[in-house]
Amino acid sequence: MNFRRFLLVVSAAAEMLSCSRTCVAVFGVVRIRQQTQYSSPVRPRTSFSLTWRALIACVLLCHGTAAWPQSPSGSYGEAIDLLRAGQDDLAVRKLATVTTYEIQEGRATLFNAFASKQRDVSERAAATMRAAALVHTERAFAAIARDNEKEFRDQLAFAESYIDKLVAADHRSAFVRTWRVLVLGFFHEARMVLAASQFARRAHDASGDSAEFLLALGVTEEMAWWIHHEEDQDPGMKGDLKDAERHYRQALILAPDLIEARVRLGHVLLLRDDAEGMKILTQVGETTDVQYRYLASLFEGESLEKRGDLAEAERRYAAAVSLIPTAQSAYLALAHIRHARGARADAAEDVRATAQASGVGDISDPWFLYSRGTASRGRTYLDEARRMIAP
Amino acid sequence: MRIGQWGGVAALIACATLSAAAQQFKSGTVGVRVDVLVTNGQQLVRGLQASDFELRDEGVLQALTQVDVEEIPLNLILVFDTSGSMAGQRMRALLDASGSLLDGLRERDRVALLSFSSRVRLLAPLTPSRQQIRGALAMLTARGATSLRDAAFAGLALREADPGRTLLLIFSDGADTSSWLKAPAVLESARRTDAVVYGIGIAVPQYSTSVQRSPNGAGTRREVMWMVRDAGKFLQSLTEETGGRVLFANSNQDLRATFRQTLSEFRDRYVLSYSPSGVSANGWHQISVKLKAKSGTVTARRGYFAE
Repeated sequence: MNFRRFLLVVSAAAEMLSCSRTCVAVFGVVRIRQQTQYSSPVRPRTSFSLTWRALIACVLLCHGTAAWPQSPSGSYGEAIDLLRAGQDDLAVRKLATVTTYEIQEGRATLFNAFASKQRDVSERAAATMRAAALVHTERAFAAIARDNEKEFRDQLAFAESYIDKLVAADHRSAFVRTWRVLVLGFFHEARMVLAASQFARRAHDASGDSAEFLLALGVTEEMAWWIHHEEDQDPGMKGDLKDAERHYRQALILAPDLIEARVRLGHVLLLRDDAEGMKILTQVGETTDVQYRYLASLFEGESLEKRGDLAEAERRYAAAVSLIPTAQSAYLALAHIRHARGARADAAEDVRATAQASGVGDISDPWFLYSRGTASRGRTYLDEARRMIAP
Repeated sequence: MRIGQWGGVAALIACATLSAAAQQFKSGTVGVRVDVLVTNGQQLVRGLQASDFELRDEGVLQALTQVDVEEIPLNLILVFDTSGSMAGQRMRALLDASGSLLDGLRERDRVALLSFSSRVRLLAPLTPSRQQIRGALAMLTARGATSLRDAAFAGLALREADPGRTLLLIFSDGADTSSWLKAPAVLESARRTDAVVYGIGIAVPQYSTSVQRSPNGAGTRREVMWMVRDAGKFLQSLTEETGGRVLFANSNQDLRATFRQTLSEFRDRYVLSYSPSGVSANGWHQISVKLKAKSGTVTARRGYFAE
């Protein structure tokens, strides 16, 4: 066996192990020894001897498969393990201590294992890559909370590099689909609608539609429109209610029971003064979910108020209040309408009733959840994604 | 002309129990009260009389009387942002500044405390008890989103039917993210009360670095810092609508001084009153206030609703 052939054998063995670091180590040792042999004044050993040694090396390597690292070691590996253990905060903090070089090295290890022809090795690597993608995603959005945009971009890019590998191997990857709607939920929470829109476009091209993904697309347009038109801020895009409507309708074709898409469809239609919105919200009002019935009443009241039917609007707001007395938006809508028609004492009483309520959580109002886009679905998405990261 | 029972804009001046010094406020008197600030550059202009002002209601000149500000009790409604971005040093600075503000109040002044994140909370209704307010302040915690417009409306709606002057002091460090009420709706409510809204924000430092090259190629690094003062369009509009102002603290440490400045400025305003004549009975009344001969900028509410 000549040297070239020897390298091929070792490389093949290393490929079987799917571990680049092991590969480099073994390769390095053998090559150094061989160079030493040729530079030695002692007669070079025979090709038989070399072949024998190579074969022994291969056997040893193959025998020791389980012992060779197939996932990142050190702090990077610990961060991933912490996430798997459900300790997200600790995982994110641990990841902060990992250098870019260590991440790249760990990622290369995983990519090699993922490319292995041994199915169990590849599957284990895929699960670890999913966990790595999640921990980088969580760190990315933690960076946004600290206004660290560079860190956010870097971390999301690491996460996306894992996702790209996973989706290249499995176009219909359930994890990738969940991860994408999870990320869109994070973007909504941070009100980064332009980034959400750009991200959604990339994701849409890569893996097509699901009802939840279409819902998130619609929400992105609706949120952008809302921030731009109702909050008078510049979210970087104006948002298009027609696009939102289209996405919601498509989502409902795929999943007719997705009530959130129905409520949002009704809302955007009313925002566009389309009477069909009222019909849709009336249907929603017949559902059993009190949160969606509350929102339907609130949106109906808003539409009636806009049309000048204050008495009927007041009735709808009052109906919303009776559905969820601890929610605040309907109370304030009611107070406002009473204040405007001169019933100041009633308005003040409404404000006191809702603002003095004790023991009511900050997100006790379905409107607060609605205004955060799909962020409120994030917990469900995260739990779903988490089920797919076990080794 | 029939004017709203209280506040609505034009304050109904039906004060039964004001002190003898406030001669203009006799029991049964009905009129419009306008809170006015006069500045010359950055300086407040003091010592003016009613005769120095010219006030037109729907373009019709009105006969003015001046109310002694010292004699009118203050209803201070504190509306504080407690969203997540307020956590840490900023919250501590807010508590410190609030304590200082309370120290500057007079005995008969009353204070209410509203906090807002996603939800608006009335932590203390209008009360003369400083202890109650301090206790409520101590309970503030920062978390959640920002319902600025909802909170502003709640503060306006809580203005009570009493003869006091109402100052709504809104402190916020960010843009609205979760209100149900839209800006036009809240601005409309502001037109229906006589509360004066002051907004307080924190200026945000911005930096830029440039390198200036000399002929020999050597470079001098130059760093420029400036403060961005942006309260957002809503708070700006709300304060303009009610005749108030937006003031900025340059840092958390500066907040205490800014709060005291607000109170001091509010006390240095003029309160003009008149019984409208030659104008329609109901609806929106546009008013304009000017100085007759002296120089200065007059800031006052834009009008009132007669209901």
